[in-house]
Amino acid sequence: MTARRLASIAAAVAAAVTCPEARAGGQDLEGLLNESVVTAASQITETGRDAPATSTVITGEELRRYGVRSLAEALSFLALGTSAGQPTGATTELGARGITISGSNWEHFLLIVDGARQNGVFFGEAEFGPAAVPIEIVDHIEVILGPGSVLYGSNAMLGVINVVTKSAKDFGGLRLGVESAVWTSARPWASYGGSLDIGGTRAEVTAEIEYFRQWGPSLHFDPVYGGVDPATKLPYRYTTAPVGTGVWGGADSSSLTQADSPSAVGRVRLGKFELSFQGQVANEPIRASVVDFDTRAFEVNRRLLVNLAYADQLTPMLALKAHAYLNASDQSTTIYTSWAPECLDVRAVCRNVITTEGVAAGVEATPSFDWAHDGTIVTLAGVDAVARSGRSIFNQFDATTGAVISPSTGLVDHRDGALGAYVQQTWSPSRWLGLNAGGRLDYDPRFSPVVSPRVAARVDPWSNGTVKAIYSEAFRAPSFFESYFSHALNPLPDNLQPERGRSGEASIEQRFGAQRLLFGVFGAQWTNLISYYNFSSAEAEAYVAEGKALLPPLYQYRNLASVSSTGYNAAYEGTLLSGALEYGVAVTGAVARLQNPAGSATPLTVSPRVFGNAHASYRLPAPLPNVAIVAVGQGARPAEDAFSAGFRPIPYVPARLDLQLTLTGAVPGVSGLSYRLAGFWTTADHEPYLAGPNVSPSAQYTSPSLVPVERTRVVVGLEYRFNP
Amino acid sequence: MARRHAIALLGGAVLAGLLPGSVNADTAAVPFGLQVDLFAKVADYDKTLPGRSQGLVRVVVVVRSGVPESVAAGARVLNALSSVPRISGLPHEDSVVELPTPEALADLCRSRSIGILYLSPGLLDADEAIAKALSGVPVLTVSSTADGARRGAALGFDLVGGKPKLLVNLPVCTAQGIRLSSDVLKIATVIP
Amino acid sequence: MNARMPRCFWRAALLSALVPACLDYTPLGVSAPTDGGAEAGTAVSACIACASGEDDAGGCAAEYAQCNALGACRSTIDCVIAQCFDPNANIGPCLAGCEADGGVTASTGPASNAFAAFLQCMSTSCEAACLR
Repeated sequence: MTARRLASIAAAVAAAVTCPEARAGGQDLEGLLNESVVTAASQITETGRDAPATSTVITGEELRRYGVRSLAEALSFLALGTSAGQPTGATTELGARGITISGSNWEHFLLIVDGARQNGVFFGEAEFGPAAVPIEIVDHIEVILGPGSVLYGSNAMLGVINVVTKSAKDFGGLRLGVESAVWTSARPWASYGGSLDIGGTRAEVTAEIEYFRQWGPSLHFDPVYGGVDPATKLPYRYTTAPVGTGVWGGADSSSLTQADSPSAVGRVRLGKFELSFQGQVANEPIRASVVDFDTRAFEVNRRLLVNLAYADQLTPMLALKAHAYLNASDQSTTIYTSWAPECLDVRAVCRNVITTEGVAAGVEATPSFDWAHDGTIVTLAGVDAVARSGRSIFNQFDATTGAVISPSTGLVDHRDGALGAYVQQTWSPSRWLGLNAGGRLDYDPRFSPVVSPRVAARVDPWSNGTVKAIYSEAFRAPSFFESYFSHALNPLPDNLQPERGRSGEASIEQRFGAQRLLFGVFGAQWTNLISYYNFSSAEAEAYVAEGKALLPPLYQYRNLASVSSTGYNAAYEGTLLSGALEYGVAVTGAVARLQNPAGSATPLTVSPRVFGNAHASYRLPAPLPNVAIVAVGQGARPAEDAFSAGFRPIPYVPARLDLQLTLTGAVPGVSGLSYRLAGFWTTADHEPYLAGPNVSPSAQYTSPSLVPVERTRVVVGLEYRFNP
Repeated sequence: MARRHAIALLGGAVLAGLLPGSVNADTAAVPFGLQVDLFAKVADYDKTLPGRSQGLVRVVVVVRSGVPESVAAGARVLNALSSVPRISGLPHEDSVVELPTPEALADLCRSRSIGILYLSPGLLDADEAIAKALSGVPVLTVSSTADGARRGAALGFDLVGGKPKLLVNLPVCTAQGIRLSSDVLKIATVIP
Repeated sequence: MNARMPRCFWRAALLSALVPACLDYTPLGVSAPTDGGAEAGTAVSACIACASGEDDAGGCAAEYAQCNALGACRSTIDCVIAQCFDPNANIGPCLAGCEADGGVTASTGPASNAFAAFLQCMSTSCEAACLR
């Protein structure tokens, strides 16, 4: 069938379809200027209402106005459907639509920055904390909820977060700034943006570097009692002191709030080519159940990402995007512990060092074919080929003498390749009807090829109203750690399969003037969640008898649990007074349950059932500041291991409310100097994450020790722009 | 042969992106459907449009046939216009023209009482000459890009923070006899 | 595992100068005991300490004692301790070799049964000390 014939058929269908009142007829100019434009939902530049997903766009101006300091804060403060928790005082864990997988390192989100996939190879992790992406250079953040593997492959189960940095026209000149959470952190930064013509070809460069350092606050950790260490017949030490009391915690510590991280991000554009780069060395605390209380467990993450992209309209019908990328990261984790079984010499303090590395280098090409030359029938296809390598090693040393305590374990040195091919067909016979269908096939040598389909329909049945229905599937490939890390009693997994997710959603959106109202419902089902399986004695013996291992194993990564979530998203936002007043509220309610292998179902821990945010800002006439306030609420959340640790009553953290008031503006009398002042307060005392060792309830200690929360914070920032 | 052809294509793509003198088609960042909605809405605030139009708003989309992005943009704009029932309360007639000389374009606007002239991407090198030729010609010129507005179109579009921005070149509006309501100027980025 | 120069991903980039050093993935071994018996700071001593502990505290005292009383079993244990903790050792074949050398390869027999029982106990009750 020729393109022209296809176009004729399309035109005939369009003519046959009665057209409701024109889309923009009832929407005023301010409303049109409030429309968000996204690219990540279908790799097509389109408005949020046309996109085959529920999406939020957070602008760079909003990031500044609301005092946002990191990607995690942006998603918590201003996005629909996402919720954040803080397992340490310097790191954040993100969930969406009621699903937060504790300890997942963001591996169920795909993070993209300037077209470069951020998720690491070894753990599948992504960085959303302070200095992951210097916040001043961010132009906007697209939050695409729901499965996105149809175009992006692995990791895009809960959503795709697409960060786009500013171009030189919006970030020109030299700027210097510093920001401090008084007095627990400091963040100096510098940026440059500029453009020039090179022989008629436009060139531009933007870059920002920053150094983030946090040294507090010191927070109080509730005590837990571990009892007598069977290896020593004495109370557990839990500290570096030679004799222990069996109690962990019960004092203040800044071990979970110390971090530092230099980072840089930037891009260079020359004609149709763009080179983006990102680097970070993050030294941040980690939470582990085996850490001595008076020491600091930390990891040093080094990341380097380079992406060379090309985009062009080759003919009126054919457009081409292509990019080559390098994603390299390594991680060194240090944990001090002084009790068995984690420390093989119970008379020493053990320094455990786990070192990992993951490198991915790939190319992706995405041609698109606009058959009718007018955007009504577009086929997008793509091929993504990547070479990967991963290494790891686990060593244990005497913290005092440096002597090696145990031979190296966890040795991994693996290389492979993966391939993805995808196609997406969109058809918009009329501006009030849009259809989208697509699928991606992923080949990975570790499991059978995975297909991730999506079908979506969008209808504007009445003036300024939009109804969407979307079904999509996604997957998360096992990380290299899950696939290849093993030791004598933790054998390699048997046929570990990717996690799979399916989601259906429907939404209705109504715009009136500069206001927008959205309501949607969703249902998601995840299967094959990867976690540790604990062998029973009989199973361990049978494992050996079958010749699968020489020694009876203790635990093994397997596809075990399932998660289901059903709920709703609701949002209202708008502007008044010619945009001087801007506001929004977003609420999500979801019931998420974890189906255990044994057959029981429990609520998903650390996940809220109701959460949301509300924000408002008002632009006062100069020299008065802009005033902005944001409120974030989360319902009660069950603590980690709440349903398996044996504590009664089942530990929950109560509902919480966070408030932040931010003032921004120009410093009067000093040209080029601006300020940002924010005050934060929360009702919460603790996060639902366990601090300290895994202990059973005792007569004296009937609840676990949970990670404490910084209750208040004041942040002051200054920015100077040269030659504004 | 196929390999050499592929290498030649790749090399051509690189050179096309880098060589001096190559036509640097500035890229429209705002989706064309949204651009049409926006300028159709702005036209509601153009106090001179009903008088200029004589009962029918004529919209002309200017493309450059040798620039694929321009041709594609023109088709998409026409398609989006087909679903706009009225502009400024009037019926409208839409057409595409190949970029003529600036003087010929000005003659076209005068002779056919063109109400809105849309300049597709890929005309950046001609924007200033077109603006000069259209000085005094009563027509609302719309560029697909912010640079186009800065170089002489009355309206232009930019994408900042994932949201569209409307640019209004006030001197050009004055020169072309366009009077926009202050309601537009309050929420647009005005080029003085 | 063959020792090799650490592969440096920074090498591929202009940015290799920005990072001072690659991390080291060379496997480490434990120094041989110099004065015999149980020394602090070695995995072997921790393993023996656990294996000879009281049963009710999680050790393998009974199994250890029973194996120690049988020459073939004892010599197999000595072989395992001396050789199979080496990071270059493949524990499967190493165990099989020690069993063959010690004479406990027969599927039945007092020494074989005692060694199997002790091995089973070590891998469960003393897993962390002996086999991680």
